[in-house]
Amino acid sequence: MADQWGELERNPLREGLQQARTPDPNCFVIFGASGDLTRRKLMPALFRLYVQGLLPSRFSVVGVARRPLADDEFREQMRQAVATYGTLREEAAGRWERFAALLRYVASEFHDAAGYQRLGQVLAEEDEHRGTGGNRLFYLATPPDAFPVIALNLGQAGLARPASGSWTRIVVEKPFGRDLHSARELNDRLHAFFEEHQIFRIDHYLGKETVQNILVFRFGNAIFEPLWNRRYVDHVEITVAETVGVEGRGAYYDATGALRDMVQNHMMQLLALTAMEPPATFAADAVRDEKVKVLRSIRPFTPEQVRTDAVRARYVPGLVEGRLVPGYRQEEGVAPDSTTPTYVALRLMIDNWRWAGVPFYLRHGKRLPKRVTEIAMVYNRPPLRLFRERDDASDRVEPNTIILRIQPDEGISLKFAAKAPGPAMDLRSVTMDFLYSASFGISPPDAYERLLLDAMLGDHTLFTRSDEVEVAWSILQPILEEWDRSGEGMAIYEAGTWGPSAADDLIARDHRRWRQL
Amino acid sequence: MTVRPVFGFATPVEPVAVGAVPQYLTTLWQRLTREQAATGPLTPARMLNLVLYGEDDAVPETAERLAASVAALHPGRLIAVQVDRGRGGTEMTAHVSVRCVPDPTGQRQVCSELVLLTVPAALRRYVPHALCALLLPDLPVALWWTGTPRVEDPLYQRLTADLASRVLLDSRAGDQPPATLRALARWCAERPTVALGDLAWARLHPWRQAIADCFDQVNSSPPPARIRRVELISDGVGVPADALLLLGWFASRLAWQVKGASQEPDAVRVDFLCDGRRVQARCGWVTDAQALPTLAAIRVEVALGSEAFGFEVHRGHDVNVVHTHVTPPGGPRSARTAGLPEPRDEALVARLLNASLPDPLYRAALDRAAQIAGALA
Repeated sequence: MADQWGELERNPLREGLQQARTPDPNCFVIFGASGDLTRRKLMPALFRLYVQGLLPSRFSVVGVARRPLADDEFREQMRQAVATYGTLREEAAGRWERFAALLRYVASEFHDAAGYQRLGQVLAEEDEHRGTGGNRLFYLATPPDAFPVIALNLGQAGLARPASGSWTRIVVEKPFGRDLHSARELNDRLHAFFEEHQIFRIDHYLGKETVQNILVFRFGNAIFEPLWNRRYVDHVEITVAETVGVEGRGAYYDATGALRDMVQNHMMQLLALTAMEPPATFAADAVRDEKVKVLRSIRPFTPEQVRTDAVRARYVPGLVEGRLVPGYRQEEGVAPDSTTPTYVALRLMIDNWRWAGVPFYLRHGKRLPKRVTEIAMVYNRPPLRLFRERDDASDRVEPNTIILRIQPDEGISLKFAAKAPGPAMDLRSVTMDFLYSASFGISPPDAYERLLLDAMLGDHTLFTRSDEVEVAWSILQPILEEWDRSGEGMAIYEAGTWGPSAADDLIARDHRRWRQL
Repeated sequence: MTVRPVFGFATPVEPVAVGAVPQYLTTLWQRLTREQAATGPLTPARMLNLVLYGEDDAVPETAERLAASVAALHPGRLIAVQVDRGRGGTEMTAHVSVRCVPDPTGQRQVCSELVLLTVPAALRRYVPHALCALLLPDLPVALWWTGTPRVEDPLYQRLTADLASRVLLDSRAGDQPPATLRALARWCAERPTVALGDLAWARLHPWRQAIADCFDQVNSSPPPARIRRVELISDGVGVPADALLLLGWFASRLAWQVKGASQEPDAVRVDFLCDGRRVQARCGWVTDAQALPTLAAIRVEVALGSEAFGFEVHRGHDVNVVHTHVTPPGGPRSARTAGLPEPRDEALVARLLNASLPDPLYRAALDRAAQIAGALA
């Protein structure tokens, strides 16, 4: 079936149904099928989609990994994964056997050309026996250094080009490169065999309902957008705080660090969605064009500004969630003399009409006291302190703030001042809360379910485009280079605290302070 | 009141004078807020007024189940009105409680209010007056009219004209589905802005989904416009409203014009015309079954050149699933299973409350179903 939106019109019986379109029949190929991502996220998400009837009836999954396994062994491993990380409740368990029948396995090294020939044979068999129609989705759930070699081998085996009337897509996980140069090189290597419209770069944050709701909140309401600019907003804080450490990924994280692991992708996406202009339509490229535009408007860092507007730090032993935890350098797989940051704070300026002069403060760290992801729009104080006769009153009142909570307690809060009951004109900050869980009563679906379905449907809206990835790297490249060049400036913070004092100094220079979370 | 609450947390069901209900709830909330240390954080979420209207003994139990279904999804105030046609007297009575359910995070409880209003037969026409004083201000009002839809009933007309912006009912509940559908279609035509939720239509969603899916399953699926024959089979005697609605849906989506209908001992036949092409439909039933006839299976035959593309969707033995079998020409037969909505009406109501605007697909299907019913009359 052609990879076009026009398909929707062809079936008038679809209109008004919960699911606007069922994905075309396809074969879902997972490279890295024995890996953590497959077990924790991909297979549970695929099984949930299957149980909900959202997958096409002509569908199969082919796992590819190095380890030799029979199909049945692979199925058993995946059953255990779904039981552990997904929903294999009793009512769904009966469906597992049917789903498991759709799974096959190909053992191959990622650089072994013969393995791709075997994969091609298996895919042809699936087309014949299951009617998957020659449609293939290759999901690269592998370490990033395998991306180019898999793309190359898929291309050389003739698997990157779809047969007439079919489609072939490739999904690439983060990290997409480790700097601007490597991101461009990876784009070039993918583009050697795949057209841009075939490539789906996953940033799972974009699959979160609360992240998608940023656009609805801004552009689906009339009252907020007029206040969403430099005339009213004092500054913006974006926080991604984690309580976890490196969780068994010490070696990977030590080669990556906080800036690459979180800021370049997730936080830049949050910033782009918060600061972008309204798109002309909600079509994939219209949204992505606006994100790219605002990212391009971010003022480039000079080496001097890296020293003043970027903070990096590493955690040392401390207490998190009631238990003592080791310092970063004591984590397994981390070099004892590591200089990899586990905390980053940045001050960014967006030089465009809407945001000129409004600082965007970003902070992310591991082993912080709470798990919180939020965007806070902090507003200017009123022009006149009308209630100054009680000096302490105004000081007790925080500026108006709109908080978009991405996780946990997904929702939106508005802080404003109210008169405390009593004879005095005593002002207090109060909060008006919207909680997803209270208003809708359902937990949002897992981000991967949405993203896998969108990739099968060919919808790029929630995936990042090559220029988007490159412009995000170009913002951070001067920071990476300056930090590589200069060994100075690495701060430390105790696990279980809100980061180094240098981060407080960064925002205090502007006579502001981080929100208390 | 002996109904046992099914909530994570509920205040006792207390008899309260009807006029004192708002003040009683205000006081109750103040007390609950003070006692949060014992109950955990409470969130009095208010998104909707929901009025349940019924005239049978099951209203209190239905209200309990409804409260359980909607409390988390549409928190607000639920007012259950039970008109007791056998009861004399000149006073309405109210029983009030607050019901809280854990939110999906499990960290707080979302609380709604439940007011059960018992109305003697003589005061039936004053139900709108009582409701006016009990509704939460500035929130939409939805009415669920249980039992047989009686759109000509003056009380129904007053409630839907003056109070409710959304109306829920079950066109399957009447014992004369064709007459019910025709009356509903007339009522809808006069009220183009009212959001009418029909439980019979909601039950059809998985059927419609399964049918639509069948046309997207192979690369060269024939379009639905080539359907040449549809057969619907029901459990129970007669053509149920949901079968007529499903046929109406086909007809409205695919521009089939009703040309005629005929009655047989165990079926009705309907002929349609579409672009000069004839489409045949048969609604048959098996006569060994239940009180209320319901849709059990559908078979569709589609022309594909000189061959036929066929599929069948049927209810599973455990009634909670539909199975689909597709047989494309020259291709492997495929099967698929999908869930049916919760059989309980309260769960369907919770789902229907998501829609605040008229559903044009339903209205178009209802119009065609009413035309079919008219042709059978």
